[in-house]
Amino acid sequence: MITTGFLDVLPASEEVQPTWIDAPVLSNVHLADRYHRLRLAAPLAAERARPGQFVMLTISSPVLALPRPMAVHDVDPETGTIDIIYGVVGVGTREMAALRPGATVGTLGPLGRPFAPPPSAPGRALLLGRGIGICSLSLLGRELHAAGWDVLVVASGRTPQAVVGTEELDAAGVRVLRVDDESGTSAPELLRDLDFAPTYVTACGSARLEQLAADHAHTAEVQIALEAPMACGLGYCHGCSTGARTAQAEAPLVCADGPVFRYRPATP
Amino acid sequence: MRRTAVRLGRLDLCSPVMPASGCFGPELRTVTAMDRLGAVVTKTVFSDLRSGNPASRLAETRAGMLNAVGIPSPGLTGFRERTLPAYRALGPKVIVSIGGLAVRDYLEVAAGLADEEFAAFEVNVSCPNLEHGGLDIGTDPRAIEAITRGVRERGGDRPVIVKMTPNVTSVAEIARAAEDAGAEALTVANTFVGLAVDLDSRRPLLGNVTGGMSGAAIKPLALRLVMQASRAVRIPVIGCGGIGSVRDAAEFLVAGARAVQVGTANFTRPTVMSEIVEAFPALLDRLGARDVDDLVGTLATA
Ligand SMILES: Cc1cc2nc3c(=O)[nH]c(=O)nc-3n(C[C@H](O)[C@H](O)[C@H](O)COP(=O)(O)OP(=O)(O)OC[C@H]3O[C@@H](n4cnc5c(N)ncnc54)[C@H](O)[C@@H]3O)c2cc1C
Ligand SMILES: Cc1cc2nc3c(=O)[nH]c(=O)nc-3n(C[C@H](O)[C@H](O)[C@H](O)COP(=O)(O)O)c2cc1C
Ligand code: FES
Repeated sequence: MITTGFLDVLPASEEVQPTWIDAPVLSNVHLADRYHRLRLAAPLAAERARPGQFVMLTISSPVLALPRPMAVHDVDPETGTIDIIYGVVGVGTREMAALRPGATVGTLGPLGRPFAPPPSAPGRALLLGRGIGICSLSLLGRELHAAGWDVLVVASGRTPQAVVGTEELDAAGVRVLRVDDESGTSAPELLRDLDFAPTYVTACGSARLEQLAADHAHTAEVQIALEAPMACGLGYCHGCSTGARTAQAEAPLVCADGPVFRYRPATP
Repeated sequence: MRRTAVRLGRLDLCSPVMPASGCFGPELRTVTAMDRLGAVVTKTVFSDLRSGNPASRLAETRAGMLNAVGIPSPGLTGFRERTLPAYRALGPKVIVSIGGLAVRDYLEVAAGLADEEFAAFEVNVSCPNLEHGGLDIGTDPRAIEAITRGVRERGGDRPVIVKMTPNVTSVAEIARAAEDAGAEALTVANTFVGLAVDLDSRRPLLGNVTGGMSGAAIKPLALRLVMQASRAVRIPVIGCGGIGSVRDAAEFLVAGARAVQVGTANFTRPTVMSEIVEAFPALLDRLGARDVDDLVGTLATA
């Protein structure tokens, strides 16, 4: 969590209209490392999801009590599908990896406030993602590119295999810089001098990348996507507090006020 | 709908199913059918603005969860101006859950809401009692009596439901204290205090250290409390704790509850409450029961 400044809540552009569906699993395949890709038939979510939004996925299981928040990595409104890329890290994602076509997954979404690129003429967008955080940036990168922005996606991971979710960006012709810890290319000092003066910077998936994004705040619009354990995903359980510094009584909620927030430095 | 209608004191409800406080919000209106619900229950409101506990506030446990949300509150003004109108617009009767850190806090909220339009108060006494070393205020029978009486006197002429804490030695004693003070119904029960540990860091998973345990894992504990409380008093009991299906709901009725609240299961399946109501007639047929009332307190223990 960034401590050098404030996370402001972005204005809600339109009322989120989430839907609930027992979504059939169409495919669930292993990608690389601990990462898998799940395709669900969820037509309304596919139609409505905006870049940066997420869904809550309920896997039917006698041991799980809560749904799992997952970013919408890709949508196909025509076939009515949404794709999630997930990493197996615990009991819920382990059960997710065992899902086979024919099973259903309770799907609530789309949820949360999407990325809000500055309404200026297309500029230069620097999208910083690490691990699974790359997946929150995939739709955004393609949309900005299609709208005429000069887009650079930095996709960071522990190993080259752990850099996943970039193929749609490649296919759309978006520039992707893959970096990893193994080769040392992911070091923040190296990423600081990219020779790319962005007007819009987003970050997702690592505190170091968030800080890197924050360092651009005096010259660019900076937006950061956060994570927190969640229960309802809709804003009524108050479980996903950011704990961030604000003037309000209760700190913003990641699910309803985020997950994307605008970063504002403490010193203007 | 007639087979699912129930009566809780002065409250006539079209179905025995309602959400548990803090596990529901108007945000659910686009997802689930409100007209099936007997009532809607607000998140507990305090008289003043409260920020709630630090993160992390949630931790999943096996078939359950711990929460240490800490009741962030919009305060009386925010509640009157924003929260209550949003609940009223949903359609079902509105039950307002109120809380405090001392007896006088409860009376202040009740008085501040006396002139508003809603069906009943639910008094959440599972709040730490600042005047008595932080134990749940609901562990003290005298505090229960003072709060119940005070809310009845100051909160306008409306039913007062007392929501019991399960963290007590004798639920019967507390239940009788509430009944004697004029409570029209009891909700049994709130969350059980629990702890989750992160072994690697050897730290608690929750920012508040301990939290309230809820979900399927607590169902047997809540059923036992419902049986004991309903046998100790004449007023109706609303069962709550781990309910996630129509069978769960019916088990609580058999144990002695006249209505049920659904909490954690709303997170797992936001349509669960209306599905439970829709499934009741078929279950009643199978059990050879005329209506929901027919099941209440029929547990054969002799
Ligand atoms: C808005 C949002 C978008 C996300 N998008 C993705 C995504 O696209 N792909 C992906 O793989 N993961 C994503 N995550 C993280 C993902 O939700 C967790 O990795 C997952 O819940 C872990 O579940 P588990 O049961 O396997 O792990 P466990 O550690 O066993 O989980 C136990 C509990 O902790 C919670 N939890 C654990 N880690 C996290 C975390 N990082 N964030 C939130 N809750 C957590 C779980 O939800 C669960 O309640 C996202 C999180 C958020 C908040
Ligand atoms: C996230 C969360 C928030 C809660 N907030 C409140 C609250 O504000 N007031 C209250 O009386 N109970 C609150 N509860 C307790 C529930 O209303 C309910 O009594 C408890 O969760 C047991 O039911 P369940 O197992 O169906 O969830 C909360 C529970 C959870 C999980
Ligand atoms: S997850 Fe319930 S308020 Fe955010």
